[in-house]
Amino acid sequence: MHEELLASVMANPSVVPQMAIWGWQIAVYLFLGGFTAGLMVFSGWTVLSGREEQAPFAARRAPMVAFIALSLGMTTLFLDLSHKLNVWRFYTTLHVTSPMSWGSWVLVLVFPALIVAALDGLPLGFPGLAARLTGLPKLGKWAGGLLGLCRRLRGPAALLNVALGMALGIYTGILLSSFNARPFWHSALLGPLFLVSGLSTGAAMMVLASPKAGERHMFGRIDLGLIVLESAILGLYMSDMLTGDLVQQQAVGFLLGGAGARLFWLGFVPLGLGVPLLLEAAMWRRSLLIPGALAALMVLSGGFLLRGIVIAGGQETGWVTLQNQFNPALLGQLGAIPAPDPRF
Amino acid sequence: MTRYAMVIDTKTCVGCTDCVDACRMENDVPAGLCYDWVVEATSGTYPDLSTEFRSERCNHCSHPTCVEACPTGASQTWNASNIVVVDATICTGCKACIAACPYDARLIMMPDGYIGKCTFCVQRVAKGLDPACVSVCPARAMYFGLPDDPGSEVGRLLATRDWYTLAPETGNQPNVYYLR
Amino acid sequence: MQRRDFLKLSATLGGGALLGPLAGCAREAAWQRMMQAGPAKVSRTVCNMCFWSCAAEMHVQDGTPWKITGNPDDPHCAGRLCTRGTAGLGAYYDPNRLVKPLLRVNRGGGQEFSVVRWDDALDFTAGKLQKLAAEHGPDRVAAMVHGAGAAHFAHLLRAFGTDALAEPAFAQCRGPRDTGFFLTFGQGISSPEQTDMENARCVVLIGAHIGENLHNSQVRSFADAIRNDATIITVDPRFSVAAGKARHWLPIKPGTDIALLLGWINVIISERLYDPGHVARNTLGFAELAGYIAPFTPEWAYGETGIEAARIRETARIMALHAPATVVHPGRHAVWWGDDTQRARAMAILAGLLGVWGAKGGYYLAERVAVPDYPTPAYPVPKSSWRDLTLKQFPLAGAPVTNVLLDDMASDAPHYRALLVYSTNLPMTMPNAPAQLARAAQKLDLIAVSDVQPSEMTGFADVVLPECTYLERYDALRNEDERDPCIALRAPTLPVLGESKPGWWIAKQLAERLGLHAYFPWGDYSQVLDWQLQRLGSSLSEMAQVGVKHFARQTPPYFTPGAPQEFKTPSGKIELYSETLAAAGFDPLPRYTRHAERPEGFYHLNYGRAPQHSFSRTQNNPVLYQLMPENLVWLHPLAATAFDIKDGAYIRLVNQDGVVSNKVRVRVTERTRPDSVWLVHGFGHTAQGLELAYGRGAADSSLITRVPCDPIMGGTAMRGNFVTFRKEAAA
Ligand SMILES: Nc1nc2c(c(=O)[nH]1)N[C@H]1C(S)=C(S)[C@@H](COP(=O)(O)OP(=O)(O)OC[C@H]3O[C@@H](n4cnc5c(=O)[nH]c(N)nc54)[C@H](O)[C@@H]3O)O[C@H]1N2
Ligand SMILES: Nc1nc2c(c(=O)[nH]1)N[C@H]1C(S)=C(S)[C@@H](COP(=O)(O)OP(=O)(O)OC[C@H]3O[C@@H](n4cnc5c(=O)[nH]c(N)nc54)[C@H](O)[C@@H]3O)O[C@H]1N2
Ligand code: SF4
Ligand code: SF4
Ligand code: SF4
Ligand code: SF4
Ligand code: SF4
Ligand SMILES: [Mo]
Repeated sequence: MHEELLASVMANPSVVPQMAIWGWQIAVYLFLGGFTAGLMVFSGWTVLSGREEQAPFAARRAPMVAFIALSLGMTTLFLDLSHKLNVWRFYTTLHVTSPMSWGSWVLVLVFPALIVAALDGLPLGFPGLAARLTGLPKLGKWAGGLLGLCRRLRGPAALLNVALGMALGIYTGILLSSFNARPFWHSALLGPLFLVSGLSTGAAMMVLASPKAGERHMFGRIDLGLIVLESAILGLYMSDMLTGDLVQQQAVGFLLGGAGARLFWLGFVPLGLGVPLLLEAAMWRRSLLIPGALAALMVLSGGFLLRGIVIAGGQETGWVTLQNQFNPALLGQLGAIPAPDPRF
Repeated sequence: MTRYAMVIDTKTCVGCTDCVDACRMENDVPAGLCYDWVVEATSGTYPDLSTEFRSERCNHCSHPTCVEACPTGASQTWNASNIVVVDATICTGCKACIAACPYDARLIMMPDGYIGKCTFCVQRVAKGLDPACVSVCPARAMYFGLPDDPGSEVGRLLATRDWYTLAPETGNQPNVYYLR
Repeated sequence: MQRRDFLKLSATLGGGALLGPLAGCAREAAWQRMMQAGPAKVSRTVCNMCFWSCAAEMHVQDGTPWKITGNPDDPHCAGRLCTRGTAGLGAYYDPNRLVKPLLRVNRGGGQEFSVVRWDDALDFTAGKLQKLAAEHGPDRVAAMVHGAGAAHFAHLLRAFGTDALAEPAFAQCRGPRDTGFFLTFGQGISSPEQTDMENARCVVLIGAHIGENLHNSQVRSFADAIRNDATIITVDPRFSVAAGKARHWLPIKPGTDIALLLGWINVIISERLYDPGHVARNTLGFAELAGYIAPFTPEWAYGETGIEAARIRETARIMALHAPATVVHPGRHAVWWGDDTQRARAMAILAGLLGVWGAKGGYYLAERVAVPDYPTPAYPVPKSSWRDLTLKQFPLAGAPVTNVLLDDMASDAPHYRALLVYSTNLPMTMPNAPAQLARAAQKLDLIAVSDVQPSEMTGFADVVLPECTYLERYDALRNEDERDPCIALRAPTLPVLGESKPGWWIAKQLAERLGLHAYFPWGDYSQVLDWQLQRLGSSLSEMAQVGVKHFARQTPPYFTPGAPQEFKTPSGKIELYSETLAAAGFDPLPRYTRHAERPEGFYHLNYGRAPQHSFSRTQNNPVLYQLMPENLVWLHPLAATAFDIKDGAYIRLVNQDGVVSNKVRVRVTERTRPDSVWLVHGFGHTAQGLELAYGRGAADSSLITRVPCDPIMGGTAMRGNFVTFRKEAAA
């Protein structure tokens, strides 16, 4: 028998769940980041490949949706910071060994590219809004000029959107996989997984929101491919972990019978992969409005669930386990421990 | 790099948690939180038992993944040594460093929100004093010093006694040693 | 711990505080501030978190109390305070502290306390005492006191005309040990115990759970023994911390230690492992002992204790091999089964045979400083003495017995009519005290209690006299039997909080109201201290600087090996056979008695210390609460399985008399014998004023209802109680 207990009382993130390192805020951010990445890649691609007419939503509206999504994501990212007033410190340095530092600078680059693409799409994508803008008394002229400029920059902007979209999409995974300290995250497959999942959610958005059947059909097929790819990467990830060292095996146990198993097998797998896969395969020849929308919604929620599960998995498993013998909740009586914060 | 190390003799440690207490008082650790903790490990079945106590804290790793992960430079090593500290005036509370520490040695300083951890009592080390936990231990089970100096007490102990570190497989090269 | 936490805690517990979550983003971390901080102001005092009385240093940084550390010059702590001493500021800041005098009043049929002015509280107390003295005589006042501050009240009451002042340190703690050693060696083992563990080659712990029992320098010297690779032999039904350090752990069946001790003595005598020269020169009654011990073979002892004969032989030989550098630790809390003086005698006989007393690595010889008494008139001779009641029941009681006094006060026609309680929490300290106190409260003219917090004891008070903590006051000089004679000064290091007052002030105020000015002729207690210190070649101001002052030894710390030794017994020798006991009608050689077996489905209730707490006084200390907020009941996996109880569950304990405990968390562990459960003493507070401690954990005290008394000295045996389990509905 071997028993390891804390002789003192510990109220650290590893012991008191409500003191989790990262909670819903980061899951939302990672989801929206991947989603944005997907939208950027596909909108850029449609522009670059001259599919603007075939895929008007992707080319003209998606950048605006992406801009809003990323702004929301940045907001939850900010909400997660526990020392908020120092947020500007991200931009006083580039710390080369820190993926998060790279990530913050990538975000700085993403926004201009995204804004150019969004404004470029405005006149045709959101004509009412564009008219209102250009019709503004004084600013109107200036706004018109700006829109024109964006129009002229659309080529390079589309290229940047593809490139930065890829970077952003893969970054959300790389950030986590860089942590050797969290065996569940420490897999080179996490970057590709998050990228593909992000692309998939982006494609799903087109399926969901495009007014054009052709566009819906095209992205439905793309998404089908992405889901297959995503499943393959997930399978690889799991087998890779299972054949890895002891900590990795223990870590993936989180999905195989551990705390995350229910949500993963009963939530994410059918919702994010299985059912959409079937639906989209069934629509290979012809897209149907309702099933298509349903599949897209599932992919989107699956994408979010995946982020949540992965975020939780990394924190529930690790190199060390510390177990309180005394009830750590009693320290709450000192008014020092925050109230429970929902976590996956 | 000046390498500082803590050496803890599990043979004499009685698990009194005074080290946790002294740290709390010395370093103004907020209520409910701690920079160090004591693990009680019991093996065997009655009546063939052994129990070992381990006073644990940040390992002031020679390869500090927490510092590497910090996007702002708030997590840093002090004065070209392995002592890892957090500058609260820079820290954003992004918690990358918490995720990056395999020993769960970091915590959010409630209610302020910057990240705290064992500092090896750098303010004392700078004055040539032992860390607070080391200097309080009633069993005199803790030692602090320069392990690379064979003339130092910690150097001597590491050379003559059997020791281990926590999860060396992390590759972080921890600098808190446990004597068997 | 941050001072603002203490303040916040006051607010949280007092009724909700708001915290600015964004506050202080540009604030530096503590280490950064401390890097720039100037030196802290240091003042010196003596710790009172337990009775070891370590000399301490208070550090105040920029006007804010920061931390307490040990005085490096003090042999009790060597610059290192223990877990509780380090947390001393928590006692100072405890938001639940008593800071105003309270008086019990009748209001609308119910009894409650109301806050009063000191004058009212003191007038009330003195008035009751005066009335009692006039009607029955001052000797009818009894007091239960404990700790350093007790001296002020002892002085007051002796001046008043009573000698009935009992400390739980005797009949609930060391009494049997000191009596047994006194009968054998002519003196007790003092506090700090004279155990020379740092020089020992073998240390024998019988129960004594050093490590959890965190008497500071004792833990240090025990650790030294481990470091020196001395052979540790630990006899304990539980795998205590000290057992974990032992080469030989003897998991004895509870209550059978005398059998083991007799077995050991048998081996040492039958195998002639003793030094015959020493035995001939220095002991009395060897022949009687040798004759008596013959049947108590290790094989016989095995049947009683469950320790294999071979191990008994082996350990006895190790002890003898290293003798006299063998510490037979006398233990401290010795009131176990009711035959405790006899167990202490058996330990003393073992030590006496091995020639441990006065030997390097055994028991060193202690010395104390001759501190002169401040001149006051002689005490009046009381009309009746505590001896009148006590010696009738317990002929060899060397000190007043708390339970004799309390039994009297709870009887139909009590001799004692008023009770003064200082710094002892009787309801948790003395078994069965709550019921007795409730009865006594009906009869007594007065129960006056001085405490620092709203304890279970203050709940029985007519008047509560709030003392300030040790950090805010002077007390009598620490002067104990030491290896290196020294004195230490408790002096105020922090401003007094609220209206709490030092004990000396309370005693003096009462004295003045009782017409006893002559006994308190000074204005401030510091004058007494200065007077004493001047006569020792020091002064109050010097002591404030140094905290501890050393004096040269007058005699060597060890006997000269081979030379005849002088003991303070009637015979001048180590009395292996005790005439004194025989004359009083007791067994002159220790007799082993079998104790009650546990009933089916019940388990021995075993209890003791945790390093994080002292008795029942620290559970509300916010700093120590963070280390150990509740006690756990340790269950062996077999017991847990039998009752289908899960690790971490909350259950209740039910004792053999049907008493049900508060709910307590289970720890299932191999570290206890399958027939026993373990509980740390001091938890399960019922005093609602203790907001952190109230209702946390279970009280061993409440479950200890079967309490035989040691017939020799009156100690209340606490170990022979049994519990079973009641599961709680999941909370
Ligand atoms: N942290 C801390 N330290 C303290 C105190 C405190 O309150 N807190 N109090 C101090 C005081 S005043 C005292 S008196 C001491 C008390 O401390 P000790 O003198 O060490 O107390 P004991 O009752 O001898 O020790 C309790 C041990 O006896 C074991 N035991 C139980 N039954 C038996 C038995 O039948 N036989 C044997 N051989 N062992 C048995 C228990 O398992 C436990 O490990 O502690 C002192 N030190
Ligand atoms: N069930 C059970 N009973 C036991 C023991 C056990 O292990 N189990 N142990 C026994 C032993 S060994 C001993 S020594 C005794 C100890 O018995 P006590 O001395 O009664 O110990 P405490 O429970 O600490 O109670 C001390 C009281 O004094 C108060 N106090 C603390 N500091 C001060 C101060 O500076 N001034 C004043 N005025 N009051 C103060 C505290 O608030 C508390 O109410 O208990 C004995 N009783
Ligand atoms: S203070 Fe020393 S003896 Fe106590 S737990 Fe810490 S290391 Fe162990
Ligand atoms: S133990 Fe953790 S916090 Fe400390 S230096 Fe190593 S990685 Fe950093
Ligand atoms: S929380 Fe602070 S110290 Fe940690 S990585 Fe972020 S900025 Fe650096
Ligand atoms: S070295 Fe200092 S900061 Fe670190 S655990 Fe010890 S006392 Fe705390
Ligand atoms: S042993 Fe601990 S609690 Fe007791 S006096 Fe010393 S420091 Fe204080
Ligand atoms: Mo005691």
